[in-house]
Amino acid sequence: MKLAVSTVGHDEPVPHDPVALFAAHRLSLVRLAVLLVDDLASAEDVVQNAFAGFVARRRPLDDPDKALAYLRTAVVNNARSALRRRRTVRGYVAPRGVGPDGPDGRVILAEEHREVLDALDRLAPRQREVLVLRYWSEMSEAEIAAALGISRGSVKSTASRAIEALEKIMEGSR
Amino acid sequence: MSTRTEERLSAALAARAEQVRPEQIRAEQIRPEQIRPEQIRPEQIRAEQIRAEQVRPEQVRPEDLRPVGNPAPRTHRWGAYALAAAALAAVVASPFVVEGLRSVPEPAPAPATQVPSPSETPTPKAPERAGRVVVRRSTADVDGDGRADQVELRFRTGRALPIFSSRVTVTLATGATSSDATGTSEDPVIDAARDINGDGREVLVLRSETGDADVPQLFAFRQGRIQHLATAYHSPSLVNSVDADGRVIRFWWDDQDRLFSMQGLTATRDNHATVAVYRWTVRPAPGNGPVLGATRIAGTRCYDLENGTFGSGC
Repeated sequence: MKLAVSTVGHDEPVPHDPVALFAAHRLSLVRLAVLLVDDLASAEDVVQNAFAGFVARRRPLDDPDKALAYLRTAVVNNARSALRRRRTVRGYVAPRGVGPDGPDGRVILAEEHREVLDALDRLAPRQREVLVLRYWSEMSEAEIAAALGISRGSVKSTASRAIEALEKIMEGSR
Repeated sequence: MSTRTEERLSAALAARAEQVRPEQIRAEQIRPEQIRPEQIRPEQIRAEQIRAEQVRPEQVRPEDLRPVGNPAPRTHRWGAYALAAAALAAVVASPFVVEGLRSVPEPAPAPATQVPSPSETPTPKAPERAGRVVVRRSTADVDGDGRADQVELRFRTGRALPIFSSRVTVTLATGATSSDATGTSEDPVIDAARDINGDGREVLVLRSETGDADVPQLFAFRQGRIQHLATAYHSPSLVNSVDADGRVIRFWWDDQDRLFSMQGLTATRDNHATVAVYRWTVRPAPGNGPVLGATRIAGTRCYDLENGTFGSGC
């Protein structure tokens, strides 16, 4: 089981009750997931899984304030699993690279954004995760390290290489 | 590192995320009264309730999103089987040797070849009904009447992300059928049928690759239908590890198909740990169907982590 309780800290109080957590953070978690798996339905599944796992815990978290961090980690892990399933499940062709007509609504994004997101799609999953957590979730290196179960150094180097790769991809596509 | 690239990336991510609007996702996908831990069991979570239809964000209306049925105990559960069952994953999938357990009902090594398993036959996909194919067939005596019952795993096709789309269906010798969602997504396999209660009713052990885990799930025929068993993943007797490091969980079947687990209590000297041993049986749980329940066997044992045997080194 790779789902790990992260050690992410938070500036704002995090509700401890699953109902309140769900109400307060589901949207942001779906948004995080959609950046990792691309389509809304999968993102909802990913987040649903995360909450299902959370409420199914028979033992409370050691630190209830880390509930959101736990859920973020679960979302990342579930998103990774979802992408893995896409690659392997029978008869399924991954929607990555389907272009602006894909089901993810990118057609209505500005061209500039589409170019970045298309490049993001071509990164390795870990690079993508690091960039999304860093530049959308605005998590610190320590928080990302805790969420992904890697070292801070790995976060830093992964982010750096991912940005470089992103630039190269975008340059190559022009 | 390019600040310009970072800015573009931040803007693009924000723009994409903002496309997911609150009204596009079902606000009641988890109903508050259902997700209070004290009111819900993992086995009540039904897979089919987390399904989604692939839609374009700009076309999404609340009524377009995934249907949420009423999770009545007999007809609907929620969908976290994969997570809830993961604790069994490492275990049943990785046989190990247990010897020297003296006062315990002999949890002996259980190599796969010695385990009575159903005569699973990979079956060519054959349409059963629209959208589902039978991917596995097997036999087991799930109702304990001494006659072989047919077991099928069916997979729903045509879904973009077929999470939790397979079902296990049993057809009794009497012709009655019953099915339940497996909560697994790819290549479910009927791994074994075991009479863990010793009452002649075999419990189905299914495996399916889900994420990184090879997750087995147990199903029992009780109350006239096949039902997913609670895996007691969050039971303290299971979540603790054999060597008390919080990571390793050990399960095994003995030669009488009884199911055991051990819980690390203390790590002693090199590669040894004092453990408690539990036996698991299927128990009725009024209102919630059968569950897997553990009974601790009196005393503690000394377990050799390196050799996988019980001994006296602690």
